Amino acid sequence: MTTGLWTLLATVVIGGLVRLPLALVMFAGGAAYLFATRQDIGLLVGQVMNQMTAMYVLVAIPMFILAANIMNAASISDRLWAAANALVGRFRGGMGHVTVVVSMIFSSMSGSAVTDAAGPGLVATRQMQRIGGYPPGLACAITAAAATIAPIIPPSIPLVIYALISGASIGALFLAGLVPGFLMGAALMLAIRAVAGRRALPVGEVVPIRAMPAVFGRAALSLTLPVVLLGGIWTGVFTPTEAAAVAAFWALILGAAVYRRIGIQTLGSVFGESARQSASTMLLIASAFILNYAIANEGLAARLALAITDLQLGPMQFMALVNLLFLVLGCFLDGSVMMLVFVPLILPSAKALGIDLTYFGIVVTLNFMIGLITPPYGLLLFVMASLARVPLGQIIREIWPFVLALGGVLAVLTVFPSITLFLPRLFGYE
Amino acid sequence: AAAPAAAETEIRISTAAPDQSPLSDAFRAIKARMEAKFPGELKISVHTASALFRQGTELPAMQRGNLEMASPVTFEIEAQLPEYGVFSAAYLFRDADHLIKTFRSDIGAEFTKDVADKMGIVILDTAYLGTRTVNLRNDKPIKEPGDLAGVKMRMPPGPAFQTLAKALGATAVSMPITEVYLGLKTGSIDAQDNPTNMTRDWKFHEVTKQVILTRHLVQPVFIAMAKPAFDKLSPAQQTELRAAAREAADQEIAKTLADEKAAIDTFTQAGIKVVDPNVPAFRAAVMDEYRKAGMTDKWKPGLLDRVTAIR
Amino acid sequence: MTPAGTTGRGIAPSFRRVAGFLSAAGIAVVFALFVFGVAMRYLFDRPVGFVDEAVTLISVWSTFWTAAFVLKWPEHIAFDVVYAHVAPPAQRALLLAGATGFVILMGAAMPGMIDYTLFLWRERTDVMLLRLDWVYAVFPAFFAIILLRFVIVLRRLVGADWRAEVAHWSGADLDGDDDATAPKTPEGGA
Ligand code: NA
Ligand code: NA
Repeated sequence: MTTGLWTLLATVVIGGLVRLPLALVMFAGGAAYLFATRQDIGLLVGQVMNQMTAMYVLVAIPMFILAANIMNAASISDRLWAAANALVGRFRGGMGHVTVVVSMIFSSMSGSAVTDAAGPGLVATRQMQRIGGYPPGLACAITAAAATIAPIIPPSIPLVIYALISGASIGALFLAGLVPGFLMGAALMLAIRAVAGRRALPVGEVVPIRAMPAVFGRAALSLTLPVVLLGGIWTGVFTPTEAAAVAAFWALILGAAVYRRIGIQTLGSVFGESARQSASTMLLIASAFILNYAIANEGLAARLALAITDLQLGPMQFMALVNLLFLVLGCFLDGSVMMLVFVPLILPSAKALGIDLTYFGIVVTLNFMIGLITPPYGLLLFVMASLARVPLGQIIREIWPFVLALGGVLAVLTVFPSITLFLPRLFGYE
Repeated sequence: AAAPAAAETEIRISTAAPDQSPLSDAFRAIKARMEAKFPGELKISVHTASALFRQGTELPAMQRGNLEMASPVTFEIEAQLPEYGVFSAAYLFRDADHLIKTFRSDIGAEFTKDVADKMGIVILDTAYLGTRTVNLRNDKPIKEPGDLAGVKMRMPPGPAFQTLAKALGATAVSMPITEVYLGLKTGSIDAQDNPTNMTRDWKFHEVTKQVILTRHLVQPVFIAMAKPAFDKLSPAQQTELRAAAREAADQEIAKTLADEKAAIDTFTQAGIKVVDPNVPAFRAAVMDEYRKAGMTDKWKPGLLDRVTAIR
Repeated sequence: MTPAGTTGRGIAPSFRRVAGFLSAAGIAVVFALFVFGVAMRYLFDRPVGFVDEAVTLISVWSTFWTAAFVLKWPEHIAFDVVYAHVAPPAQRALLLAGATGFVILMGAAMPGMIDYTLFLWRERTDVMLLRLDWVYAVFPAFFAIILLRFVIVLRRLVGADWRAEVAHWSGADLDGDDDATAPKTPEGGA
């Protein structure tokens, strides 16, 4: 590593340890890097603002946070969760399973893991604590892990970007993500079951059968929300990014006109709270952009790619190394850096080894999703800590069973390409 | 061995083009030729797919001394030199050949001098980005500009493209390119415009029924260097760099043209209808719209006619 | 709970209220613009070109505005692995070191950041054609405010009232006066 990168790393580690806000520490790391390499310090402004003002899809994050807060204030979350509780609350750890299922449903509407965590995830976290008796750290860990499914089940922003980089078909990639997405859900549910048993989480309220129609009736209108969103996206009324705002709009109509829970005063404080929650998340994303620049400018990825090519591995050995590399890098780097800077450089090796590009795309994207929940740099961990106001340490302590579960899915998908490729082949993509 | 007398000159090249594209190949060819000719003197790195600087931010980066080389397009130059807005006009160039002839004529020399003097950017050579064409998700018959009425067409951001969509007869919708695939699939947009090879690379043809060869925008792309960085090179290096840029540009143009043709073959094989519309009618409609919008007044006087006169 | 004048630890409460109102207004405008954009395109077949750019720019501005003026220190995401497990005097030392280092480093970066921002007068945004120096100014301004707030933190850390400051950073008083602005969710803010 170069002096510049060492300076950056040292600044971030020391700044983090003395408890400075993480986003400010990353900005400072970027500044230190630019000073150490004698570059224009203005690049800090340029890189961060250029990327932030170009990332239209990022705006979905504040909108999904707003939607979640409106759903809370409108009593929509309560009604939905009462229905879910009637179904599975009697089982140990039931709320955790519901979280995963809700996350999978929202995955078919959003293309990014952060929006999934910020929207339905935040609601789920509160309900896991309240109804399911989950400790806050565990509730956040489950939500963060479940949110990683969002970009694997279509639509998906990372898969679209991968398609352009690799030349793989978007149609094939979207189909290929379905089965892995369900496998991730199943693996997380197994992990939740194990954790719930070991920790002896309390069993939820048992709802008698004769009370069920009333519970479901109360939730009926709220259940139109996912229907409106899914229908709207798949009939072309609005795009996945706009869907975030439409979700908030629909929840607002239900809350104000139907349930009569939201007045002007409530709405004002919902907007205020949403602005504060999204600011701390967006600031962290902003600070990652200066890191991206340092990595690209140092040519780090090119050197790594060269080293891998020199090893002359077989396809499976190569895939094992790619997984290992991305899991380790994922602890420290943002998924977007790995996708934009590293993937283009190792793709030629993958092509040369005859590795299917659709399969490769799903495997690397799953790697990046696991990177979102591995400390020390795990964007979803930060988002949950900020939104649910739970100390980061508590979430990190609870995340490991779920990292393990998703790692298991990764291993299975890597070893058996046909799991990924079965659906695309069925629909005629070779 | 003795240490080299001069330290290595670092040249960082940034482009928005995907890693596997004729333009990225061109920059890698320049790197290979220059480093072979001046071993130990030059250290050139090629950063593709906007990994180092995002598209649209490279010019100020070069002007500020944060970047040495890049591949700006006409819209970026026009932002700082509005009189050259004519180079971004639809139906200005007839084809790639006309475009290259123009930039290698006295018009090109004049333009290059203005860009160097007023912007501090040295244009080493001109390559070819592609020819934009309209692509539809449905079977609606399109021959004349009027046929695009009510068609929601995704356009890149910027007033020039909004005017262009209107001129073509369509309704402009702005949308990030990452959402276009799903937009076409679901129908939140009906059409998008891109060169045929880009339509294929972004996989939009998977959700396209018709390619209408409107050929409305023949786009140049410049191989450019920051003037201070260029002035720092020795005369021998400068001469070699210009020659390398010309060689790379020639190869890029040939490859892009072949790639555009190959993309059309891909479409035909996939059962997509490829339509030749009434191009003169589209051209007339567009020029009329430009006059009505007052855009022709901002252009350098006489330049439109001089470019048209080049055969 | 805290002595008068130190509520909110950093910025006077009345100003915070105005800043908080603007930050809420920012997200409300983004929301309204999104709904407007969808309605114009789908219901009225009249797509509006500026919506995408407007929502993006307002979100960015709102982020930096909120982070500078509204968020309290413990509301920023941070690692508290060391801080949470040491005694107040050690916490004071950590904060002193961090704040001093940050003020020196970013203070040195300020002139370059301002110079770069001013340099951008020649560039404009794609759709609304706003001058980039104005659009990007929010970023150096954000750092200027954060630096100022760190200077206030340093002053408090060396003063007699330093225990209140280290307690504030561990989030001890976060749910005190703040609940007034938190939404009354059905579960009572659980
Ligand atoms: Na998804
Ligand atoms: Na990570």
